Amino acid sequence: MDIKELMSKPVRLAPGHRSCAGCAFPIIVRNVLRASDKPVVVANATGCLEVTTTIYPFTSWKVPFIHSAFENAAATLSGVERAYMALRKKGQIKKEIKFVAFGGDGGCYSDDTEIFTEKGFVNVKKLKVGDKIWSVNPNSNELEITVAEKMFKYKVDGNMVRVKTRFMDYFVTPDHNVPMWYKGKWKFIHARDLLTRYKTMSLRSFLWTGKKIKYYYPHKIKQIKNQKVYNKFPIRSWLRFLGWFIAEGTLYKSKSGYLIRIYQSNKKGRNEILKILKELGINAFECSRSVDFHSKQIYYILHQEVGKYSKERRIPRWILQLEKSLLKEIYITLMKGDGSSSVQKGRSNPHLRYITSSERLMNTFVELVFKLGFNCQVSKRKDGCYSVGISTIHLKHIIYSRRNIYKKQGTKQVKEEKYKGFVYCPQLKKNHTVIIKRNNKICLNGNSYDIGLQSISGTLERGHDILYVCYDNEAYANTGVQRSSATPFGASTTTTPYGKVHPGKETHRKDLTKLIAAHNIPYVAQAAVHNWQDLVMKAKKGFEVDGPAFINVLSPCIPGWKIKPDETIDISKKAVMSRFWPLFEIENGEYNLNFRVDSPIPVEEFLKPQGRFKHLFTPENRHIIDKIQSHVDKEWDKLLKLCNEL
Amino acid sequence: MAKTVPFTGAQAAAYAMKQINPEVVAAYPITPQTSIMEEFSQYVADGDVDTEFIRVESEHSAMSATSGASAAGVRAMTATSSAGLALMFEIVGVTSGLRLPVVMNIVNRALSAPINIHCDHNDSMACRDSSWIQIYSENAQEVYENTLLALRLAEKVLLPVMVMQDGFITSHSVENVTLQDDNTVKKFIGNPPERPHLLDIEKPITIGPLQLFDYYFETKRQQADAMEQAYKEYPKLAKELSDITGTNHGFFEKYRLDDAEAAVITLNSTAGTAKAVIDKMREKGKKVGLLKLRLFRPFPYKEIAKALEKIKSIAVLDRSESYGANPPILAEIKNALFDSSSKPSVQSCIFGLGGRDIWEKDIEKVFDDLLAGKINSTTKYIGLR
Repeated sequence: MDIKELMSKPVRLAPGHRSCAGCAFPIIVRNVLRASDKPVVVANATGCLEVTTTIYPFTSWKVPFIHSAFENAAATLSGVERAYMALRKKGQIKKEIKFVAFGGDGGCYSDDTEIFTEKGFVNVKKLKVGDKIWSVNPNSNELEITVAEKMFKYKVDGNMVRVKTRFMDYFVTPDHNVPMWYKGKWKFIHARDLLTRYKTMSLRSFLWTGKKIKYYYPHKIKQIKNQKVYNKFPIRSWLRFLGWFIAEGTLYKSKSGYLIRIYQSNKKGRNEILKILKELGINAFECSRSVDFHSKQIYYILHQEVGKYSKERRIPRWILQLEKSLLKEIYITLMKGDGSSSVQKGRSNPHLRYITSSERLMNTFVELVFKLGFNCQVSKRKDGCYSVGISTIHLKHIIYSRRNIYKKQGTKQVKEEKYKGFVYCPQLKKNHTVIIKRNNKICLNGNSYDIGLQSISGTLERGHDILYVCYDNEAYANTGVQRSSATPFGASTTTTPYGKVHPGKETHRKDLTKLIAAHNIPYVAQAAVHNWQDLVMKAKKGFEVDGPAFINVLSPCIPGWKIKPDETIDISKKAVMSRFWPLFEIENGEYNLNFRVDSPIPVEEFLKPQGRFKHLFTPENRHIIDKIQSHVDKEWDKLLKLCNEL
Repeated sequence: MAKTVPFTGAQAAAYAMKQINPEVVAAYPITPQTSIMEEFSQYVADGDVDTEFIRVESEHSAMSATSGASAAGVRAMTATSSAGLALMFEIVGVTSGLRLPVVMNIVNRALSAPINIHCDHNDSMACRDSSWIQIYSENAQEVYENTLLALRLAEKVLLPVMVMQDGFITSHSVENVTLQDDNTVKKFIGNPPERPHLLDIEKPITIGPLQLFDYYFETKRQQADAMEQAYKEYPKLAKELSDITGTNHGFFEKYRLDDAEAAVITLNSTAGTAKAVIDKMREKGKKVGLLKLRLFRPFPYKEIAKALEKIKSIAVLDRSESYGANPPILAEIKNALFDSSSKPSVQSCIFGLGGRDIWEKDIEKVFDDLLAGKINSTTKYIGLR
């Protein structure tokens, strides 16, 4: 847009308001309001803008304007917008009117996915807050339990990313976090990046430490006369016995006593079982097709811990807490009992399979398998039995290649697929990875983060046709420059002043733009006061888009940032040139970098002219500047990737 | 043609809203108001109303959106209870300060803490200074008619109006309600008045400016004037409605009060119970009566003093407390009687907090004590264990 053309547009915020000399927001407001030729209604939250432009009996607004309260501009404007829609529907208003609110400061699974919880695989729809979920700690690579803190559910009608390989199947939203093992550590990428950038990855084995014990102390009960009482069993022998029992054992209670029987038609198998029982000190006798012994004590233990009937069989929880080599003992005999192996044509490694009719056993077996470092597939047969297919070799590969491309290249296994329905997102207390099962394939996957901001959030979710412009002066300026969640790390404000012990604000600022983007509204952008062309372009898009739009505009504040009145534009430029405040947009979820800074200035050139950062320029606070610089660099890298600008 | 249907108080309120057909309703659910909103949602879903229903994410946003819509020049309504009213309190004042004719149904429920979903009047009483007109309803019939009356009054004086009903007792109990037909209601509520609003692009206005010590006081004086005007307009509109429906809509209802020696003053559903007790006692020859309040803000001091002129002893039954001072109704009654030449003895009673029931025998005892002269300055707590 030509500056002459821009300047010839009617002025909607009249001069004669009371904002500070050099204040950014009159510039911002005027530019935003020039971006649309249609009539505009403005809503404003309590703040510098409202207070300096509406001091009764004067007003600077040449357009309809409403101020209601401090934290509800979006909600108030929702009411105005709906009133307009109601009248339009009735034909009482024919004009097109745009609605803009000015405020200061203030990845998901398809519904057929199952998540691996402490109780086994649970459909993502049925997950509840407080459920204990298995996840992999991305730092230590250990398998850990975490807790579901919140559950999110969104409606999706569009493309999602489908990843399908022999051992993996997931169907997620394009911005879903997928864990990737790269250069010796875990990182998260977006699912959509799989379409263009990365080869699909396999599941890596996780670390499982677990407990080491030497003996199992069986519970003692009131004994039958003359029956032997068992005090302790060597753990390995007991585990091996349990494996056989879970797979092939039965319990009989009759007049002749409490019988434990392990079926085994194979002589070699029976010999092995007898050997194990001997190690345990149990006197057993061999029959033609089984190995039997009597013990009331062991009968009750097995009944309680493992289950009498085949449908309720499971691996006891305390065993699942043990360390790997112990887990292997029970795994081996379970497989000997109920497992089978088959060699497929053309493959050198046998395909292992475990079959059971008990859902609990299937779930505990899968947990056992993961902890041993294997991956598996689970399917339900026609007869209702679960078939667990185990791969011991697949996990050895964790190589990814990063392709340097600018064109979209799909792979056979990763593609976009249309999905219309709900997607579900459990938010975990930590790790942000889950193990999911879909179409019988199990794999590790990523998780999404939190959403805040009540009034804006509600308005954006309801889809009102309004533009929300946040003029970000990085503090509560109107009431005397107290800190807000937009205040950057290290800044000195009246509630986080620089003092002897605390050097200003000690937390990084919220990334509001990305937070808003998570509402999946059609248009989100970040702009700055000095680049009027960029700002007007974005405001235009925001007005024209159908539905909610949000622009976060950097608004330097003279008393707040402690700069001179004529430094507003210059400091805004420095913010962008140091990569502290990138200019970008997110249109329908697609990130687009508007201004690429290849040779940035060091962030301290942005900090130095501001009095609120003066205290950082001493030797003992140097590290804070370094911290700010590294944070800026990290965020910039993140943004480049999101914008596909590598 | 009017028709009589079995309706709960909530259904009656929702039906009145349906007949008003406001352009915007913004509401957030809270027990026991939920039934009103659920009924209304069905009207919206079935296309029986043209309302844009904003399902906001909190009561604070509910009042914000409702007042935004009203500022845009359309009819806007909402409803809430208890904690919801407490949460929207900031914007309740904004709405009346901006002189927006919003009508809100309040289903009376106790405030926290402790948390309690049952009826008492502390929620709406806490807003008696907020410059909203307040009308209390004894039963579902009154809820229906008061809502229609509220809209006329709000638009006449440009002040928002709250219409109260007892939570669960009125809102969830079925009674016979006579509904007027749509045309009669349309004629009664008429067209909204011309007033400056946000969608008037040709004549843009700034709503909600900053006013400091040099102008704020005058604006507030204008609000007080509007309340005065409401006091004058109410009886006129009430008569207009009474002529249509046959229900009495005066400032208050006098039930067998004229020759009474002992009277009870209360509002909302307890008045109904009192009427039954009065009928029984009258048959035994006892001269008892009831003064049932309707309009609580503005408070009709003169008329109340006149009505109580000849009564010897009065018991004021408050279903709310003003801790550390006289409860709300008592305070107003004593105020009214201060300038009156007659000085009846007044007994203060507090009952029903948090939904504790009050029985006929309790009210009978109150009357018996009044008639026996057992009146003192100590507050009686009826039904306290």
